[in-house]
Amino acid sequence: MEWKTLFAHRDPRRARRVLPALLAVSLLAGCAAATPQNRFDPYEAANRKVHAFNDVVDRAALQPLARGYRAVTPEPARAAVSNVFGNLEDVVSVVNHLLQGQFARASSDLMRVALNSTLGLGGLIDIATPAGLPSYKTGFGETLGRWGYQNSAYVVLPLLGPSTVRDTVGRAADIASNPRTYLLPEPADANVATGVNLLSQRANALELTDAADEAALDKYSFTRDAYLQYRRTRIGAADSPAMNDEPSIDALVPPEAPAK
Amino acid sequence: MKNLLGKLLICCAFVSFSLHAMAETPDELVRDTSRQVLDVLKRDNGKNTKNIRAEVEALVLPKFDFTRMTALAVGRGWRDATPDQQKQLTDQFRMLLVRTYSSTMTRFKNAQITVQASAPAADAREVTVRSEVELPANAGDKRSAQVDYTLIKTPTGWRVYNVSIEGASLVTIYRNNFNDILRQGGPDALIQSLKDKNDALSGGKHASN
Repeated sequence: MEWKTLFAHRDPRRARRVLPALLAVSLLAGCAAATPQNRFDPYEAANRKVHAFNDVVDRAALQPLARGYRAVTPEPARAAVSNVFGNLEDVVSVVNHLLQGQFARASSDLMRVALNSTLGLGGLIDIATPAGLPSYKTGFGETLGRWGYQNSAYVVLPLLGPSTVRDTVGRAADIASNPRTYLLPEPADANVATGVNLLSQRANALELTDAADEAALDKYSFTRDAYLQYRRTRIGAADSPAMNDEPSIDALVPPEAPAK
Repeated sequence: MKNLLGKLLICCAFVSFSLHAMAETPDELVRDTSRQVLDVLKRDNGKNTKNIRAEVEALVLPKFDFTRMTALAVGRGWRDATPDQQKQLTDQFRMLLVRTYSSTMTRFKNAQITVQASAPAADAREVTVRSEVELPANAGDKRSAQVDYTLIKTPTGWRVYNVSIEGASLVTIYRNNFNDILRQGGPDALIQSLKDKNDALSGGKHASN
């Protein structure tokens, strides 16, 4: 399990430096090899290598683990695990909604954390959602996007998967501001938490990735374009003119003559 | 006299009924179809049988404009394809979408679908209908997904030609990949790639069933 060796450093701050270093290496490799075809994916050559590596690790280790986790753990237990991590992420959301000027959502997230941490037994039970406080998770990557950093190059992170340069910076900030970092100062505990969170997220995404396996001609570009479109919508840039260099659909298929 | 009145009434009721069917608004179309599909999916203990798949396809497929959908996925390369190639592209792309959907559809049998009302202008040609899909059994992650349908008005009613989930369009995520294949081998290469994918999927299905 490669992620363990990645994170198995004595000093957690050092562990966090490993990813950016790996990233920098892959970026340089990408620059050297590039004949970029997609302007949102200038590092495609390197990204594809990381994607292939992730795919191998996923099939050999993460996916079987996630399916096993599903098979042996009852649904309520898995929900509780998800909820605990979700509750900690809500703290990150409070900060970022404030930074984005979304004060109503920030206060709603704050209420969520207060309710779920106390009556929800430390986040095990998500009582805030049925109580009418839906979760609007956000992070620093979205804050940067809302501040105007909208187009960012696509990057596939080792083990963590699709991201952009912007979202990688965001992820680092989210990890730093997640209460987990302070609640679990021991690297051994932090590694276990990281592993369990990764497993829980992988199990939650099984349907999605199974569908992508079936639907995609080229899983790499399918995943990339789904991710980029999703992120663009999240930062309110779905209709950015930068995306729409295609002819209008009416120019391709005249609407008056709907073909059979 | 009484008889004639009765006939007239029935006649009026029938006319207004068919007018209503003709004038089904986009959100009604999405709402009605979703409800009918969920009803079918719940039958047979939610099993994904051949009959269920056929019934869902009969409900869903007529509501889609696959030619427009394929043109949207292909993008500017659509113009370079001959009408015959366009038809083959449409057939293969439809098969891929149907296969992908029908192998995953029973997972959504317990979904709660809320379709937002939309009031397009009387002369509107296109409209986007928003809906929220909630999966109660989805472990942990209870956040609902936003599913948007883009419809176009045709002489026979509204037809869906784009679907996006959480802002990611199921149709245009194919475009960059399609363009790469078109650049290298033209429309015939794309038709072949889609065929190969569909063959692989049906081969895999036989193996797994």
